[in-house]
Amino acid sequence: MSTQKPFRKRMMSYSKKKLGAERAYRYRDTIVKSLENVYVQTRKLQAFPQIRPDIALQQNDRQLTLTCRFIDPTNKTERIGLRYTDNSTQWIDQHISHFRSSDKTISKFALAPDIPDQFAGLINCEQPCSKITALVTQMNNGKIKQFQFKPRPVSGDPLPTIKHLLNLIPVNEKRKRELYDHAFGEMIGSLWNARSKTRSTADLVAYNEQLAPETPTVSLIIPIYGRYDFISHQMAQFASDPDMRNHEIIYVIDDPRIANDIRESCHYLAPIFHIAFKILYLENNLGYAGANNAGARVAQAEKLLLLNSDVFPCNSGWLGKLVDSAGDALDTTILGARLLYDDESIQHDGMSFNQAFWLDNLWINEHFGKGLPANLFSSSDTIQSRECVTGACMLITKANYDALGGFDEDYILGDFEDSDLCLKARDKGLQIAIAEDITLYHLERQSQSMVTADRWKTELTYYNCWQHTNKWNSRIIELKKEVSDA
Amino acid sequence: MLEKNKKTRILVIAHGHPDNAKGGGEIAAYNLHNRLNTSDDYHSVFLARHDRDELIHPGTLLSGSGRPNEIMLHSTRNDYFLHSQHNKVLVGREFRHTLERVNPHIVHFQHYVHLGLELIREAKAFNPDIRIILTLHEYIAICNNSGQMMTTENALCYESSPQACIKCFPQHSPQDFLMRKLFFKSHFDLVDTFISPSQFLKDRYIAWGISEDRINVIENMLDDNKYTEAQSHNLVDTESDQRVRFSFYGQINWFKGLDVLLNAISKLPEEIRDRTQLDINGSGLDTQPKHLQNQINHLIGGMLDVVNMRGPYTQTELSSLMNSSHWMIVPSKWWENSPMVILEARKHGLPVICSDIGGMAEKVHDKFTGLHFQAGRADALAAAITWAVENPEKQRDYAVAIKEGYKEGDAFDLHDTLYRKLLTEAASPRVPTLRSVVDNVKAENNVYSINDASDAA
Repeated sequence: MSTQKPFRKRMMSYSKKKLGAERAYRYRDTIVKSLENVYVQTRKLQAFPQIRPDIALQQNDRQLTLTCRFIDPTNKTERIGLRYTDNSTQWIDQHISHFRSSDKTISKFALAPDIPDQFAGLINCEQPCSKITALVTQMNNGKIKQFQFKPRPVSGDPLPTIKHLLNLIPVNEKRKRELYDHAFGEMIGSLWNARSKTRSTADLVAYNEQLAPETPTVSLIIPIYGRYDFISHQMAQFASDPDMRNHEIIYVIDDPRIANDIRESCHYLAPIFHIAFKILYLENNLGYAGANNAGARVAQAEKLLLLNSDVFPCNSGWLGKLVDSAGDALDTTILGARLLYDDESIQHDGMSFNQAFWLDNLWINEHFGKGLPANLFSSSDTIQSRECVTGACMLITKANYDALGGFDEDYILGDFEDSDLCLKARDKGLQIAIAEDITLYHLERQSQSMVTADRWKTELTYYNCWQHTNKWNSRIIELKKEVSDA
Repeated sequence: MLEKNKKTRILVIAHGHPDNAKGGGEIAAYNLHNRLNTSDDYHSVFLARHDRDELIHPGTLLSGSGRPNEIMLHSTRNDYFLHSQHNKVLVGREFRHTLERVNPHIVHFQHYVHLGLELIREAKAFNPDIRIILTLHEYIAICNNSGQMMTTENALCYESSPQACIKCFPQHSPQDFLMRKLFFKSHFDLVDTFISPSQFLKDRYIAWGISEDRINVIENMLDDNKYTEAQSHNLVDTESDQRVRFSFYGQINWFKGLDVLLNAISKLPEEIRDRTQLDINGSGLDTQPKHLQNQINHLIGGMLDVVNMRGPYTQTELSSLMNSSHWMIVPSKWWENSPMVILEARKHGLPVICSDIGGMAEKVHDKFTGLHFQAGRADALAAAITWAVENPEKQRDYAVAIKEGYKEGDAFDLHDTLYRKLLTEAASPRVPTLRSVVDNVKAENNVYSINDASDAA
């Protein structure tokens, strides 16, 4: 342009041409105002794209966990890359997934509601992470914009970071499973696996040792997390059941916060309830799977009963009967029991896999008959086959448990490790069954009530479910076919 | 599936459990369920809806009540216009699970409000051989005003039509009401037979469009065993009774007409009033509109010598309450259907003074087991009370007549007969078509010209 007229004059002469002098003059205020508005907006948009790293963690020397706010309303970005100290650029578009975040503070930028404003991914770096200096975007006009940042090394408890990641995912994300497949699954998995798996510092304390059986028939393994008042309720039931003297009771305290309180209360519980029991204090919170595995390692009996702390037997002698009902078949069986709610309805009568259309067709564990009054269910005195059984009450030989590698600790905090174990067992030729005539009360989820019901918990369930489906999809489809053929 | 294979399995479905809701429909349904299970021929399972969030379990809307054979179903998002169930998971999953587990021969719906009409369709879809019975408790299909057949201005209503109903509900169009009726009919067509507790209600539904042979008149079930003792009369003794004791039972709200009753008492001549006593058994006044509260409190305040406010009562107290009374008064301003209190009065041999409309007038034989008065008119009621006080021997005559006419277990025998008939008669497929439904509606309302009708078809 030869002569640079002021913006306002230029626009007026343009409108005169288009509208004629008279109308342009009549509407001049409106024209100027709206055009100025456009001008200001355009200037604002020139500030974009913007990238602001959110989580930037060195998973190891060559792996970077990265989430960024990414705002590009005019869609000018062609590709995104990492810049290293030697000024070379690694383009990372195939490593990352873009999505619309649930974060209200980001969403208020004047973007259309479906334009992504975040990306995330686990990036395999070409050079060591320490050499990263910046994120760069290349725009469609060839220009490159640079955003300085330095990744931090991972440290300590991975849960806060996992929580943060899970909270980023929008509730109603339509491509949720895709997001997990491409970015979040890997990111969360690598964070969880990087946690310190301390095993040596567990502390085993035995109470009322004089009452302990020489060779226990079953070792009960009962993890405690959060609420621990259940211990005395269970003890009250166990102490008045003579059969329980044949067994070893191990509480696994998977919650360092409450260890001192438990030490104190056990000091008083032991003389009240005349029954031998052991408490295994873990140094770190290992999650449900890790706690059970730790308990199994110190168990002395040949059979293990994995039991939740909020499960209370309906009758005396239940454990002996449970063992007897399987007989020799226990060597090749994982055996569950029938669990009831406080209102005498079914909580657990075995589980079956159900492809949940509302959950992106992931396989969930359906509790068959849940909520229906127990008296409507037949109760056979021989064990009955099921697709899988809950870990809330599960009888298995120690040999089998060890051979299967115990619960898979990749599931975070606790979910799906029971059905996972059942599927592993099926692969080894074991059968899964329940004893319908052995009933216990189960106050489902009461034992976790110290965990706040946050959104990230729901999202974590999705993650565990996604992981379970990825691992077992084809096996479950086969199983479903076997069941329908039979 | 159930062990008791030889018994006829019946799923009784109610819109509430007496544990949580004390309405007549809920109590009648629960009584039927319990009575069925005392019989050797039936195994009944009771499915009751509730809205108590604290009772639900994770991942299911079903729960138990703590007693065998009782299922609680949580439902809160209700559509009170169409009576459709918004939560389709409840229909396709929880209700389906229930049907699979119970595997009933007969599904007896005691109601569909709060539950959704779709449950009827689901039961039929689950197994077309299942016989479906629906007991009609109010006029809900006919009237959108809580099925009361009263206008929203509290006048008695005699007939409904899309054109008339929009006067009460201007927010809806006649087309809305036509669709409402069609929606109801499409589900009612799947019902094998209906039960109406009163002839009056049956007649209203015949007028609405259910064919006469599909509705059986069977009285609501009282609990003959659990609470109340054998009937005993409390006769007016002119020697020892200084006052004739009248009593009122039930919820206190506008429809139940307590204000009419109190006005009537205030109109009594002095010498009659001195020989009269009124006991009010019931609660709910505190939730009523302020002006009604004020009116009733004012009336009671001026007649403390005559009126006793006894407050709420439980089923276990009912016998002793009724046995200490000479007359029951049912002054309802709406039609009623088959009021439970009148059944209880019959059982206890208690003569009834009631409004001369609807289900009440039908259940009380005027000048034989009780007295009728013009509904809503205090002077007419005052005259009836005066007559009752002046003719104590009539109370004794009526009580004897009631006793002679009462047979315990009547209602159950009729249910029993109906169930047997349903199961033995060959499955008669009733295939409703939209065309036939539309024709019915046209014929009844006579609103479409021939051109319109061909368009609609």
